[in-house]
Amino acid sequence: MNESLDTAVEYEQHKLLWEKFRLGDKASFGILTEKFYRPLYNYAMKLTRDDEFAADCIQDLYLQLWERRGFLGKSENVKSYLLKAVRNKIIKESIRLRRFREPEDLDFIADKDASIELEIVATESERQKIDHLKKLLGELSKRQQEIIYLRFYQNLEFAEISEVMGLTRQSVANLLHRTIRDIRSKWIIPFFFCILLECIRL
Amino acid sequence: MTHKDYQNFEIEELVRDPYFRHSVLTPDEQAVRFWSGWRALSPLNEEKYEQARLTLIALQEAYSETLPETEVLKRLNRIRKLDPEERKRSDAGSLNKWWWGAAAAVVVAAAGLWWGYSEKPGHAGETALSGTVIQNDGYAATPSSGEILKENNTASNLTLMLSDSSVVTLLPGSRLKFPSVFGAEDRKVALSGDAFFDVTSNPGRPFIVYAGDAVVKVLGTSFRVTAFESDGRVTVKVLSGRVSVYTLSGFPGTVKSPGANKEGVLLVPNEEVVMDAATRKIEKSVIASPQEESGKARFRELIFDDVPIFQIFTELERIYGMEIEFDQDTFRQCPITTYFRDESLLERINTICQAVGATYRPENGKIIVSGIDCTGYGK
Repeated sequence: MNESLDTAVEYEQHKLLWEKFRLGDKASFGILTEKFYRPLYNYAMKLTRDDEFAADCIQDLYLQLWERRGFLGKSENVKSYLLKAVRNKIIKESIRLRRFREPEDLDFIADKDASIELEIVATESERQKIDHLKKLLGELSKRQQEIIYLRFYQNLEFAEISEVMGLTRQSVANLLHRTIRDIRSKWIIPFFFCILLECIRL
Repeated sequence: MTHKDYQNFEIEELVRDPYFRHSVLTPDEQAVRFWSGWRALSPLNEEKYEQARLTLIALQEAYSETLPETEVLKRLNRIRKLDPEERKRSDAGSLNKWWWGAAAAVVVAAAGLWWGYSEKPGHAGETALSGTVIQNDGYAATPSSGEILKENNTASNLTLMLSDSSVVTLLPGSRLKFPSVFGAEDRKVALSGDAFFDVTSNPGRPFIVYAGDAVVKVLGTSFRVTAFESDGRVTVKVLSGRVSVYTLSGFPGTVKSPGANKEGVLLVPNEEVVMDAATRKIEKSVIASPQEESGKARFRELIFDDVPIFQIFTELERIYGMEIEFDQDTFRQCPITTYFRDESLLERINTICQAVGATYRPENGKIIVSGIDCTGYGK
């Protein structure tokens, strides 16, 4: 129900491209790899703050997909399939390279410097609220952060998050619900306060 | 376009809604109008909107990664080269071979200074013929490639597709000169007037625009050049990626100046340079309002719901003012459903062709689409 027109059309396009890619159509594979490079890279960078390692994992994943195209199944959801694949790849390679030992050691870190790179223009009072929320996000547990990130940055549905993170749909719903409630209790903008601080835009 | 009913939307739903995100992150007039209307409906809406907006901004700031478009393309290209099959047929002329290449959007407006050559005695009129080596400008055509001169004498935009599938939108009163097939080393065009370029990325073959006294070298990016003759200057603005700007005499590829200094001015996003035609001095500054410079604003949102493909081509021909050649009968029975927002023309053509298994090729500025009878696709 939540799906909007363009995402619905996009899903269909991705599925079609995936089907053609499985049959060996290089152009379709090219479009898929290009379309998903940024989302995959973004996710990979959250799981390892190492640009080169992230790039290598995606490169490996892409090459393997192409090699194994004949053995791949139909994919109902290309995006969550790829996100899950890159997540698994990072876990596997990290363990192989002894970066960590257990899959549970997988980290989730938003770059602390990212705010310097990208700061969207806002009024002073808006800036305070934005920074406050960013601070609250940073204080969440790594799995809470990941779930918020997948839900609101990568824009995934519950079922997709559960596929990517390997959790049941119910635990995704519970964890998400609890996390949002926590954030809301700490980050509230009472309406009267809002008027005082002129948070109604300009 | 009709919008869904956002009436009972909660903050979390708004944050995930594509149209809401679009209105906050890449606002256009239509989206801004729609959402200010929605906010005005009730104080509750207003509050939800503001909280959702600030939440979205916080998420963007917390999680965005900076990775330049050129870097993405470089990486995809590297992956492509690692594929053993691709190595064998790396020089095939097929359009498929640049599946890895995204289109970089480029806007160029140039003065007619450079074009003076064609009016001079001794030159063969408007259309430079194949084999003509042009002095003064460094743009020497390869003798074997036919030269094409397109002039837009109409009141609306004219879109051309070049042999590398780069797309050029010529504004009224503008002229573009280009070879029917680009050489192996680089891709050179010459512009007089105003044009928007969608340049396909190909790091091994730079795309070079000769515009007035300036030479703009594209490294896979989007930028705008303004060079009205009356202003006596050329302005180049960068929206994303990087471009290099040279004076004509300082450009390393210029025929007349083998010892030219190789120092162009490198521009990064939100920077612009102004070159004074008289002094040839290049000055760099920051773009005051980058939002307005986005070429994407030109692209209209398009929804085709179960529309026969020939109608889509006809619509694209109308919007872009370009010629698309296709067989009416072949494509009469192919209804497809698709949704375009801010894709380039090339991406749109790609999407359509892919949906029905058709192929296309550029020829002398036109696009020629061919395919098999597509009954059975797009159900």
